[in-house]
Amino acid sequence: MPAPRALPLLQGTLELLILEALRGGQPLHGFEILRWIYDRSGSALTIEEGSLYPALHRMEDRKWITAEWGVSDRGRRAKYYRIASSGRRQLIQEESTWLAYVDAVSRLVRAAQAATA
Amino acid sequence: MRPLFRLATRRTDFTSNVDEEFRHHVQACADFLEAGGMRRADAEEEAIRRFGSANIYHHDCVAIGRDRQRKQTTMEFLDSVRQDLAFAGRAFRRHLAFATSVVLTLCLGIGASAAIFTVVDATMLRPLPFTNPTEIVELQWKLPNKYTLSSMSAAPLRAVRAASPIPIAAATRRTGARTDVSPPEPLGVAATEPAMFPLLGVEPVQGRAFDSTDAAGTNGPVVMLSASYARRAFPDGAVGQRIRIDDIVFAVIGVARDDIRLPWFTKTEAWVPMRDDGSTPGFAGRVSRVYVAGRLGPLPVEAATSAFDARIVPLIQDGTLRGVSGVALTIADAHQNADVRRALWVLLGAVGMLWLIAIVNGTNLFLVRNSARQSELGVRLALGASRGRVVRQILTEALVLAIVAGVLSAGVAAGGIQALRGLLPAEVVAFSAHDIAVTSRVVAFVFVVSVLSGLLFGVAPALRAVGGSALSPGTRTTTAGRGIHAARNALIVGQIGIAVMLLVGGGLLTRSFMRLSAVDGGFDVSNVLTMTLSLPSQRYANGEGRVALRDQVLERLRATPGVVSATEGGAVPSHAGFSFGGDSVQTDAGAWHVIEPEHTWIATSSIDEHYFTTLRIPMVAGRDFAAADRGDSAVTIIDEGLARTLFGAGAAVGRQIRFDADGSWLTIVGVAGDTRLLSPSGSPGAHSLDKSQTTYEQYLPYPSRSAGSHLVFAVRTSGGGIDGRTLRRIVADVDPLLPVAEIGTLAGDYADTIAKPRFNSLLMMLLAAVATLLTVVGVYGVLSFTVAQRTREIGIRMALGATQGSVRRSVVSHALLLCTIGVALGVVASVSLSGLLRSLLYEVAPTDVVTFAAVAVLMLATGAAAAFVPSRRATRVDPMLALRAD
Repeated sequence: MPAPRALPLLQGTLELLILEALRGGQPLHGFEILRWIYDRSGSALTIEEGSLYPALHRMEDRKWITAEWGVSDRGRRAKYYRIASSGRRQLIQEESTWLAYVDAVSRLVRAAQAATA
Repeated sequence: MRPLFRLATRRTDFTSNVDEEFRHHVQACADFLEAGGMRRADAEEEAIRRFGSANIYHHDCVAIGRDRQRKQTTMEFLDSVRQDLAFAGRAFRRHLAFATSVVLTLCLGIGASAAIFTVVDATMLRPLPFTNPTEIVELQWKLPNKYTLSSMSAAPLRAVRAASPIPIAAATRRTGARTDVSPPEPLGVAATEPAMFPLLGVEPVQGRAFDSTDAAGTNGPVVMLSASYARRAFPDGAVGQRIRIDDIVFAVIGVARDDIRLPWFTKTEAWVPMRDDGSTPGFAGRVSRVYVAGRLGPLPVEAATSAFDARIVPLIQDGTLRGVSGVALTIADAHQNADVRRALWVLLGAVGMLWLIAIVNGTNLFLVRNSARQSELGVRLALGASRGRVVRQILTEALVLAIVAGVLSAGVAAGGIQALRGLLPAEVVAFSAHDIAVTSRVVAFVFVVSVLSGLLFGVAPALRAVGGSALSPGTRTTTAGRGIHAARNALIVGQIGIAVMLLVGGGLLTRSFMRLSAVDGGFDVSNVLTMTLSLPSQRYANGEGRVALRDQVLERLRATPGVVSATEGGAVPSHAGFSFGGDSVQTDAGAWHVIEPEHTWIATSSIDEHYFTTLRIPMVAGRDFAAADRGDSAVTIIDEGLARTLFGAGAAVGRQIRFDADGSWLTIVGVAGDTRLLSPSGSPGAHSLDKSQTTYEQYLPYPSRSAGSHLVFAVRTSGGGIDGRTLRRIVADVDPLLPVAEIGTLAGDYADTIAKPRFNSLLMMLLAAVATLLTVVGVYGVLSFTVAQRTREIGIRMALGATQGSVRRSVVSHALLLCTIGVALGVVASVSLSGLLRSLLYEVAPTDVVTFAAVAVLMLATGAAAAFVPSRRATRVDPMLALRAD
């Protein structure tokens, strides 16, 4: 697998990504969430993998996600996460915020580029 | 995913869970990389690298986890507390009588303690608002006849200051009235040397205190106002204002505290500076007597006194100091009256006992109730509740009750404080008025006492509850063991004993007070009004002016319909216009009689020809003064006691006496009945109740040309119709600018002299009454529950043939037995402690049999009464129901 291109994560987006990964309702463990993010983003995003866990634990504390110990398909003991109803609400909110933000910044950037072309 | 059991996340597990989660991630990543073609070893290395700073993330996750756990533990604790409270609430609803009696008991106990504590705190525990208050002393003078004078003439002040080993400052009282308001308002004025405030360490509340230019009068007369007066007169700010005192303009330069608690500063509204010769800018004339305060500094009081004594010897010898033999330095704090302090400590002790009764009551009630719950508690313990939990449960109940009682008792305390303010002797209230209120100290006290009470009476039952084995065979029947019976009985006996002590104390004080009130003063107090006038020095600078005023007022008074007679001067009670004569008298038979110096004084007063008739003091022999006697310095009237001492059974009229070897002879023209004008116990000053002290009265006729500036009128009326307004109108007719200082009744003034004993006995009786009430409630409560618990036993007895009468008798006799033991113990304790009351009692022995007997009977009757209802309830037990209830 080629090393991912270095696009550092903007602050606060990790939680959005995790929620997106869990959107489907399936329980996933940490590594699976990470794979989902890599695959969906076309490997464009890079995260120091361990940083996932403080984020996951914080979100569990805030009850956006619930956790359960289970057994993986390789037979190892693993902690699985699932989105909760308050997590879903949070997700919808963050999605719209993000899209609006991206829209505004993109417009600005394009306008500036056009102006100085 | 196959789920596992959710395991309890105990603290140690948490860290290993995080470890495991991280490990799994790395393994899963390695698997993924391996599947992509890497060698296992390389894959694992890469996976670890990609994971990043494991330590930091581990630390973060653990911190998050710990936080969560802490929150959870707190929630669990709060939850269990809430459980306890709900449980307690349900329990109380079911046993409302129990809860009410405990709350009531505590309420009264804590409320009474708080009220009395406030009074004690405000009057005794607060230190004087001076710097290092124990260093402040009052300078008093010892006279050759052992009497002590608390003032001195102003003339030798400079010399005394030079001789003094400690810094001193002098002050005095002056009279004056605000003349820029209508009607003119009398002011209490204190004149102090500028050094006084710095000596005491008192700072002005606003503005500034006096300095030497103020005393010199360089910038005109200045005045400081007391804080409360300034608030009243100048709500927008007093400093910088001007007021007129006796028509002279004074500039207000500052505001002084209200609580400068030296005895000469009672009821002071205005402060003015005084020079060391006794004069004050803005006031005419000098004062003749000043009071002196000093600061000991590092010297102990004995050393200072002897140094002082040594240094004034030359002053006595050269005549600068006349008539004194030495100095006495008394610490100002102690001056707040030894008797008041003793009385208050006694009361505090009594209040402590009341609280003890309340606690005992509460404990007993709790013990009784908990023995009924023994089986329930046993089951809880067996099911795994920790002992700590059960103890906490019971303590929670106790605390809830105690805190509810505490809140309610704040109300009781507030009411009690209000009542006490009205009852307190005037001089005690004078300085401390604004402290005798519900302050934060009081609230803190109530709170602390409540919590303490709750813990105290929860502890015994709680320990007992977990002490016994959980499901011992006897638990099902819930008839308590012998140990608990003994404890309960002991508590009842204790309660009764304490109540007896309080009742004895109250009874003794009340008898003493009644004796005091019954003393015949030797004059008729009814229908006599008293009026005090202070003549301002500006307009009444000389004797003639004052005499003229006095005579005019008297003339108009006598002309008023409804006035039977009027007089001025003499030793009208609590207005003490007399002086002390010498301690030896020579009769014309040549013999010198030395009046016992420690216990007897001769009070000399100047009276007019209407004095005896107004006060209705009988003439025993000879004649009253007549108008012609005025100004005659060779005649006198003495009282019976003095006549007896000097002449035995022989006639005193016509004889002659004198007080000085080179003095002039006085001819006795009449003998008047003995009076106890100064106080019922006959001693000067209303403090001492020692009957062995006596005062003899000697009367001189009014001097024709001089009068004091402080006039005290006594007006006998025919009852109704004449009141204060009439008197004021008469004075205003004579001099519209003259303020009338005080109007009272002779009966009221006389009663004031026994205000302290009245207060003491009232308070003690109140406490005793509350204690008795609590005891009744306590005994009733315990007996009720005992009867309820022993239902089965009573049922058996009745089924076996016991009559209702015998059941009732057994309950009552049980109560009476406990009562008797309690009374006996209480009596013994009272006998040993009542000696403490000796100095507060008047003509009543601390072991007065009548009082003890009355208390014993009352207590036994109370015990029987408390047992009455439970005994009847016992007789109503249906044997069949009782036997079945298992």
